[in-house]
Amino acid sequence: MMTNDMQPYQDALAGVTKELLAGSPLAQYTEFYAEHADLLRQHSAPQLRLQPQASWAAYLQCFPTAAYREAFRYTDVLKALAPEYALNPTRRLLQAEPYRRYRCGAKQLGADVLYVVNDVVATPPAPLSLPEGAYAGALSAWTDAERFAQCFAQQNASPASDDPAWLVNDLLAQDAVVVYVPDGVKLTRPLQIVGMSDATDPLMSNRRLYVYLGRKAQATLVVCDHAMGQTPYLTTQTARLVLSAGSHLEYYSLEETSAQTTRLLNLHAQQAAGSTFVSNFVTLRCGLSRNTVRVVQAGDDCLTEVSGALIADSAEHADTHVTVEHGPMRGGQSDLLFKQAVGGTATGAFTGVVDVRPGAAQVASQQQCQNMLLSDAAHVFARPVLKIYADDVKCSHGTTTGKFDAAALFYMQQRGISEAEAKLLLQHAFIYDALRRIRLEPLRSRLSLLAERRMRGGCDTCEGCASE
Amino acid sequence: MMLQIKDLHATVEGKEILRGIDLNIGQGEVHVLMGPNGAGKSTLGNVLVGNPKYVVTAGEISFNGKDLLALPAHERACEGLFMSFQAPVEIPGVTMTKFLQTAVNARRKYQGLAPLKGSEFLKLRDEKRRLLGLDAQFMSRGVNEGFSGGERKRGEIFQMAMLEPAFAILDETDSGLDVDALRTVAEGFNKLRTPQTSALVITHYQRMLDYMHPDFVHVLVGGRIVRSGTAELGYEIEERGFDWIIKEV
Repeated sequence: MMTNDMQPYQDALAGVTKELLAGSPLAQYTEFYAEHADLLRQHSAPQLRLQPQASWAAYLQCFPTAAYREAFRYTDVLKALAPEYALNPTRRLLQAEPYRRYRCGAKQLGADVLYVVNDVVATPPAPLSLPEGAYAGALSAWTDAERFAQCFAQQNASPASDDPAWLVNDLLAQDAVVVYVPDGVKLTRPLQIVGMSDATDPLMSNRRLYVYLGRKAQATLVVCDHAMGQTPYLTTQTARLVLSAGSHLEYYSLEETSAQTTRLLNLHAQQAAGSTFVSNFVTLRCGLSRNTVRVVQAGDDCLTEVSGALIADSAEHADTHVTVEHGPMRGGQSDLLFKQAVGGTATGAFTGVVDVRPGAAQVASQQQCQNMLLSDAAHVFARPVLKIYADDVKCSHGTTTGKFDAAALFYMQQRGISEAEAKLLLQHAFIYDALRRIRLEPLRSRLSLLAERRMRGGCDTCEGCASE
Repeated sequence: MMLQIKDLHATVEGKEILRGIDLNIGQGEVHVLMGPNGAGKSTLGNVLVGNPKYVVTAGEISFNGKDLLALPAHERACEGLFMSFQAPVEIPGVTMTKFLQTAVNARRKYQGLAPLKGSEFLKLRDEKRRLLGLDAQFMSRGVNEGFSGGERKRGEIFQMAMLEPAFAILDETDSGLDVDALRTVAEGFNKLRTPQTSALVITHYQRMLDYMHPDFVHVLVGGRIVRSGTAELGYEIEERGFDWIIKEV
């Protein structure tokens, strides 16, 4: 669809000079954008093109900020953005009939499924079973443009982080998945959004997700990321989640991609009073993966739960940075639990920032990061950060890093279990501690099984999304 | 002879604890091992099951004709050795069911048998659980997680019931138990005994003699077996203590 409104495009790159970009890996993106602006616009959801975009000049003038250095000390995102990948500005569906090509075997979830192939939201063969008034699908197919602007005005008004990947996604994303649940409505079935990277040549995709829950609305989202074959992929993903008062959102993320995949996720959730956000980020297989999760409690009595698990045993690099901001409200609760089982030459990093702003009261927050080192060459980083600017607060944090419990290992061997099998049992139990926080029981069981298979060296693809 | 120990010497953290143990245990026999603290009773039990903290520096152990010292811990278990630990460790996150299913099938694989199907295993589990009066809720909890002392010891006997060892080592099973709990554990053990099952019961107390009806009692002092006899020896120790034996040695 065409739009004649040129302003958003010009604003993004206004003031950007060659000097600002000199030597920066980001230059290739601004050059592409400048050269193909018309093509991008022609094949974009018009609602996106009407949103204000972050100013690259302002960003580059300050870059790298102290905040950037702090948040990205373990992952060089600029380096990750440096290689050249093809883009798909005309947004062709590179794989035909995705609902036949990819068959999610996790039928026990009983979910409605949306496929996003690279960055194209595929049209389901049959309408999703959504309650009246709810919507889940491509932004480009959502006719209620005014509602989109209303729901996500604040989200789109400002860049959420210092992350250059956010900036690139802001510039190049052409469509999005939107999940809209009106006031008082509950999605009775989970919604599964399956992101497939599938191409024959190295490809970059820029995906976006918008989730809006009205007052007292409820939804469960399962967001999976997979990569087909051994092709190098780069995906930037941003997720903007808005939870209105009293709403309840469960957001479960699974990455099961490949060693050749670079995935840069930015998730920003805004919670109004009395809302509940339960999330779990599980990484079973990846190349370079960075999850930046930022949750803002902007009302009284919010509950935020962020959990996650990482299994890595070769050369993976996975870095999760979570920030929970307790605004100047009362009764906020947050609970962070991360588990990393890291072997080979892999690196697992977790940073948990709890930011209790002035004026917050009756805040209760806890975080735990527990790590298991499975080889001498593996690395884990665990960094709890508490920023407490209020008095009426209870905050706790804990970090442990270790190997296998020798007493437990011997106990199991004394019952006839080999050392290797005993280690697998312990490793699975370790990771399951994080998985047990998934409230959707079929998903919890499925991920437990996948985690066990992964630890045994199986699961090259999530069977559920095996290609035909 | 099921178990033959000849001139066994062993150290832990560089300190010699066993200083020449000779002991033979036949099939179906129950032997009790008593002695003062630090004598080496638990060390002997741990050496038999292959605890890596304990280093054998000399001697031989034969189990059903096989060189036990040549086998790693899990294979000794598969050969039929079982130890009821003095302080069973907690394993959070590994349910008792999953743990025992893995152990039972590991033994079956070692013996060349097909693994038990899930339903078959659950049937066996429930049968043994009811035999020992164990609550079903223990099966879905982490191994020993949150168990009281008595529950842990009962859990050890339950595991023994599931694994059906040929030779059980009960390492101070009576420690930390009240009279009723001890009776329950001992009765559970006695239910599992067969004419082919042998046992080495490590204890300080005569009351275990009342429950176990041992064939032999041995006294371990300073890393050596210094006296052997029948259950009467155990009662004499209960009455007179160990001093008279130590003096004689």
